Amino acid sequence: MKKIIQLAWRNIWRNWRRTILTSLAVAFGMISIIFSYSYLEGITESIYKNLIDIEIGHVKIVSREFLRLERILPREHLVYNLKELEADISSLPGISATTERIKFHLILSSEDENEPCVGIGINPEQEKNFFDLRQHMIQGSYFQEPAAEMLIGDGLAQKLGVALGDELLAVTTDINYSTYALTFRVAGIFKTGFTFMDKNFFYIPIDKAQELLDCQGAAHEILLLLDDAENAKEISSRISAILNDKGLEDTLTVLAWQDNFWMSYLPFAEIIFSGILIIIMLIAALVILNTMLMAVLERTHEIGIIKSMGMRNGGVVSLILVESTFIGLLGVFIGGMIGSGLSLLAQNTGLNFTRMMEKMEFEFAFFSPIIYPKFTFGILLLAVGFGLVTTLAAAIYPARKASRMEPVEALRTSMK
Amino acid sequence: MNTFALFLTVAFILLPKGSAGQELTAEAILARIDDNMVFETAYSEIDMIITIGRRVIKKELISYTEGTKNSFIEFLSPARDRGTKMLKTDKALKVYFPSAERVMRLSGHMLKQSMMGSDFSYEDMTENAEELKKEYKVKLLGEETFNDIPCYVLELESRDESRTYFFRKVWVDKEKFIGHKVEFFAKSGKLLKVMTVGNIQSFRNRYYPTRVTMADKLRENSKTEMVIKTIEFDIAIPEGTFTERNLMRR
Repeated sequence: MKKIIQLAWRNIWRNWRRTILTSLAVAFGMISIIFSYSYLEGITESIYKNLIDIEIGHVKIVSREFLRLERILPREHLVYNLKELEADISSLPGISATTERIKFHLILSSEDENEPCVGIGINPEQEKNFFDLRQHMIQGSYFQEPAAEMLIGDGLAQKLGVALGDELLAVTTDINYSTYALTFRVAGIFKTGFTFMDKNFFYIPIDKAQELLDCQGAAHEILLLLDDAENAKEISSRISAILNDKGLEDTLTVLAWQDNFWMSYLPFAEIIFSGILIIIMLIAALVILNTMLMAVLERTHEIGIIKSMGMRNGGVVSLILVESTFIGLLGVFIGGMIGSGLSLLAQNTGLNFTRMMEKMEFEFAFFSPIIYPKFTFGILLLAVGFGLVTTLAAAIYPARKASRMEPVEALRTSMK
Repeated sequence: MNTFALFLTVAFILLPKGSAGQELTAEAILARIDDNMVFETAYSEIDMIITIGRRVIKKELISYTEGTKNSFIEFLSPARDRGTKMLKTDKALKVYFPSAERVMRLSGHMLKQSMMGSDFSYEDMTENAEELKKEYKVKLLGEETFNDIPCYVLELESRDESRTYFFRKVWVDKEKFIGHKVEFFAKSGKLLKVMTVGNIQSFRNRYYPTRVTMADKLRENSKTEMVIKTIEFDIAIPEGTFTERNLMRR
């Protein structure tokens, strides 16, 4: 065996160009797998994070009717006595942040345009812990002081033909079916890369939203972030108990993020991502298989000589497999280094698809336009295993074929 | 066959369908409706009662109309709506919001939005009683009784492609020539709204309904009733009523 290993070592360096090329095929497969896996992990993570920050929190308290009719944002289904409720909830352990929001449809009116859009009333300080708009301002600044100011999506600003500092009239029907209007100064323009937000959303301080809807002290939802997301169900049931004590369980409901209907879409996404990954692995395997096949079969003549010198079939198979292992190890090393390096690089800088996303019109896609791939040691291990197994598996067939050839016949194969 | 039977037979053959003596063309019926509904000027005081599910909301408003172009509406109650005014001229429809002290000009799809939370759109509320015979092609579908009132049933098709209510089906009182029930359809044939009227009163030279109920079929469990408490036809309207200045007057 020792001899075979020595022979194999000598063989792979005898024709070093072939060795490098073959191991590059393995490396290529590894890089594709590591990078695409990290990338898909990054997408999945960003969807979770965005969903939690923008829509559902770790725990959400909302009126049952508002939840049922969420698509039309029924303004009259509110959570009342916010302060009192939040005081009770904040005594629970493990809550890291709380905020409340009002979401409603209204008309924004500029000098010459009227646009139906979605207004979000937020608590500017608390909201920073959730979806931090400060990172997305392209003009102006975040709320400075509680005033009649609004932050508006760049697409919406364009539709209305307004710029920083302009005044907009916000007109809405309040919870008692009266029509009410207030003016707001455009203090900032944001561009999140989420088309549905940039084209339809604007943010105002929550007290102004309450004034518009005539619902002082109430909001449509309370959102919580937890120290540990896994505790969401337990915290939810404790909040449910609080609501029960107050006799609010008929109108209000508590939702842990796992139970939010948005989450039911994620398994589909994950199935699709797994499918993509499997296809990439198949392609990588085909490349490795093809290269290995060529590399062995072009040595038919050489194998004929070894056999005519007396090496047994088993010896030939072992020789080729050991050579393949060396090549595989080399490829895995190169591929592992480059793949991990690229993923880690991209993990820090992010891959920006803002321009591409602008052309898409998902109604509610929580794909961040900038994806930060998420590289893990597990991904590297998977790719290493894949590289070695595929290389060896790809060598078995040509090795057996070559070993079974009659030496004379093998010798007759023309030398390249 | 006796003479009487013979007479009946002849009568049926000679007379077109419909009852003898009262036969009117669809166009003539429409013209009679216009006689009731179209006026030079009018001033009215109205209670608007919106019913949504179990909620009932009452609003008070006053309205001035002049010719087929101008109208002006001002809300008096409830408190959050007080001072909201609407002005329609041949140029535009504008709404003044006292809380913001601003005027919004409405156009396009905004005109079809619910006005002040009611089943009437801005367009419905401010559109003057137009001369139906000019705006619509008409067809007489037949006769039916509606709420025990014998009615002609007319189908109206808009001459203007862009009209929100492209088709209307109207049940017209055969005696007073008031549309008792109107169904409003989109061009696609979708039923948008149903209007019924009641409490028809006789004025100097016309009949006029003083209770109008509109149900927007695209809203759940919803209707809006307009009760006309006072209406005066062909009166002198104060100078400057239909101006932007009046709209913004405190």
